[in-house]
Amino acid sequence: MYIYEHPILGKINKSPKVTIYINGRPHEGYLGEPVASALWAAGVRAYKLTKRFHEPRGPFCFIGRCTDCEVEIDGIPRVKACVTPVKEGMSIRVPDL
Amino acid sequence: MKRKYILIDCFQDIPCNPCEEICPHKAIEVGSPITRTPRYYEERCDGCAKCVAVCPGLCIYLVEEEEGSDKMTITLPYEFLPLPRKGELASVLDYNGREVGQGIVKRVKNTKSENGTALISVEVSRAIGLAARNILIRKTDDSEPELVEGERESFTDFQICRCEEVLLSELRTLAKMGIVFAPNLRRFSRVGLGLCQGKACSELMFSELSNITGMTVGELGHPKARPPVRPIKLRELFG
Amino acid sequence: MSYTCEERDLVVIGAGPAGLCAALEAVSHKCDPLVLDENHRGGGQLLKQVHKFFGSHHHGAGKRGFQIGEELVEKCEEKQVEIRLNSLAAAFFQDGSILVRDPKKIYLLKSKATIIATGAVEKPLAFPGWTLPGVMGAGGAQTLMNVHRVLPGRRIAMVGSGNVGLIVAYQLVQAGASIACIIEVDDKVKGYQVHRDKLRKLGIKILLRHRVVRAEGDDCVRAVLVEDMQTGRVFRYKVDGICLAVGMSPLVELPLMRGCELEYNLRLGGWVVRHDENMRTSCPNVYVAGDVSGVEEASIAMEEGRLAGISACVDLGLIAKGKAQNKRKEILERLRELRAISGKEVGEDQRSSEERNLTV
Repeated sequence: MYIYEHPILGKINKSPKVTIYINGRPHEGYLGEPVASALWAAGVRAYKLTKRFHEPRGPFCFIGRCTDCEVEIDGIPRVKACVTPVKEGMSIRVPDL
Repeated sequence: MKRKYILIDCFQDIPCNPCEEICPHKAIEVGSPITRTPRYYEERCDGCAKCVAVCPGLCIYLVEEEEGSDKMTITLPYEFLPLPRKGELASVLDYNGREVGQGIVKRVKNTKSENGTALISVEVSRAIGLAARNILIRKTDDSEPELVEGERESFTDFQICRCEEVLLSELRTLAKMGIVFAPNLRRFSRVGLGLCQGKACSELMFSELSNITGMTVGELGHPKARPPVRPIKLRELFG
Repeated sequence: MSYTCEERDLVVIGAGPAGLCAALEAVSHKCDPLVLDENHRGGGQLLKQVHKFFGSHHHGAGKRGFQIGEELVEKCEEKQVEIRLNSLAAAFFQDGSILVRDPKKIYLLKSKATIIATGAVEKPLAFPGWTLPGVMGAGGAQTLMNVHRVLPGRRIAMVGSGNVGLIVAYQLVQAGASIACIIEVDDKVKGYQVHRDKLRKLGIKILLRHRVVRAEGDDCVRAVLVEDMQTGRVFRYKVDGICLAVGMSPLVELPLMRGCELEYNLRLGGWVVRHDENMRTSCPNVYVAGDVSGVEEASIAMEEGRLAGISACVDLGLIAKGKAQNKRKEILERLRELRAISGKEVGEDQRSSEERNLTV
C-alpha cells in the first residue's frame, strides 16, 4: 500500500507510474523506485524461499546489506530487489505461496 | 480579562533550544548550557504560539482563558492526517493518551511557517483544560493481547545466520566440542560466511560466544575486514 | 588487470551529515574535497528523518531531518563540492588507495588525506521467527515509508525504546499504521522523554521488562509473543510487522582494512575506530567522523565532521595551527554541551512534573 498523503511529506512525490509484472500479473509501480518497495506495495511479502529450510524471506534491511530480498528479475536470478530500480514492463518472479 | 500563557512539558536536560531562539519577546529562556530545561516568563509572552509549532519535542501548549468563563482554549501541535475541521467535535486526550472529554475545534493553522506541525486550537471545559495534550487521531484496532499458556518452558531453535541458515543449536553443539575460536566456528558452521559478509550475524555469534566462554565481546576481538565491502561480480572487476 | 588511478588531496567517504560537514569545512579552507557515496542521493540517513531535530541553530534545530540533509547538499552544490553518487568505496588498501565502483566502472583513488564517515548499521536481534517476512530493521521500515512511501504494515510491534524505536514508532503512526506495543527489556525507557511523550499522548504503551519470545506466521508475520519478565506471563499480539530497534554498530570495515586501530565501547555501539579529540585515527592522514567513530546523534556527527575537516586541512598545510585551534575550541565546546545528556538520568523535577500532568 502506497502512502499517497503524508502529514509532513505531503502528496506522494513519485512519478511516472509504470506497469510491472509480478509472476506474470500486472501491477502498478513507479519508475525508478526500488523493486522491493513496489513489491511490498503490491502486497508481496515472501520474496524468496531459502535453500536449506525452504522458508519464505522478505526484505530486512532495505539498504542492500542483507540478502533476504533477492528475486528473479527479467530472467536473472538472485537480484537484490531493494537496490534495483523499477523499469516499465519489468517481469519479477517471487514464490507463489 | 483574557490571559494567554504556555505550558511546557520539557522535563529532561536535553541539548535543545529552538523555543528560545524563535520567541520574539524573550519569554522563553534556555541559556547556557543548552541542556537546561526552558524557563518561561509569562509577563513577556503575547501568545503567538510560534514556540508551539517549532518545539521538536511537540511539548509546548498555548492556553487561552477568560475570566468568568468556564471554557478555555488549548492550542496543541498535531502531525497527523486527516486534520480536524473547524467546528468539529474532537475527543480530547491527556498526557497518558486517555480520553478525558470532548472539545470543539476552533482553529486549524497549517501554513508553511509551521513546517508540517499543524496548530489545533480546541475549546474545552475548564475542568479538563490544563490536562489536554492531544486529540484522538483515528479509531485504531486496539484488540487486547491474548494470554498464552505454557510458552515459557519450551525452547524453539532459531537461525542466527540469515544467509547460511545456521541454527543456534548447531553453534552450541560446535562450542561444546571445543570450537570457540571465531574463525574456526565460521569454518565449521559457515556462520557469517554468507553473501551479507556477516553484517548481521557476526554480532550475534560474538554475543553467543561471549555467553559460552564468559569473555566479554571486547575481549573476544573484532572480526577482520577484507575487500570488497560488498559483493562485486567478477565480470565487473575484470571487465 | 590495472585500473585508472586518480589523485586527490582529500577524499571523504560517505555523504551523510558527518561527511558533508567535513567537506564543507574543508572547502572553506580552500581545499578541494571529493565526496563518495554509494546511494543515488546525498544526505545519508537524514533523508528518511521526518521529525524535527533537537540542538541549536548550528545543527538546524527545529528543522526536520530531511530538510537539514537537503540544505547540506545544496550548500555543497553552492560551494562546488564534488559529490560522486552511486559510488561505492569497496576497499581501502593499506597503501592508502581506495577502490571505487560506480555503475560504469571500477577505479582507484589515491588521496593525501581521507575522512571516513560511513555511519553505522542496525544491530540484529534473533528470536524464533525473526526470519519471517515482516520482521525488519526499524531503519529499514523508515526508509520504506518515508523515502519510498510504502506502508511497512498496518499493525506493528516495535522492539526497543531507544530514540530510534520511539521515533520510528511515531512515524509509523504518522504514515497510517498503528503500534500494537513497544517492547523494552530494561526497566526504563531508553530514549528521550519528549520522544516517549509523543507516543504516550497517543495512548501507545511501552512494555518495560518485557521480551520477545517468538514471532508467529506462515508466509509472513501474523503475531508476536511477548513475555512479561516479572510475572512470566506470555501475551500474543496480533501484528503484521515487527520492527527491530536495538541499537546500531559502526561500519568499521574500511578503516579496519586500512589498518586503523579499533576499540570496544559498548555505549558507542561496540567496535569503534580509535581516534583523538580532533578525529585523527591511528593511521596518518586518515580521519573518522560521525557514527563510525561511535554511534551518537546527527548533530554530533555534524560537529565531528567539521573537526575532521579542520584536522585534514591542518595536516595538508592549508590552515595555520593557531587559527585551527580557535575553531576547534568552539566546536569542542558545542560537542561538550551536546554530550552532556548522555548517561544523565531524569531528575526529581521530571517526576513531580509528570505527577502534575497526570491529575485532571
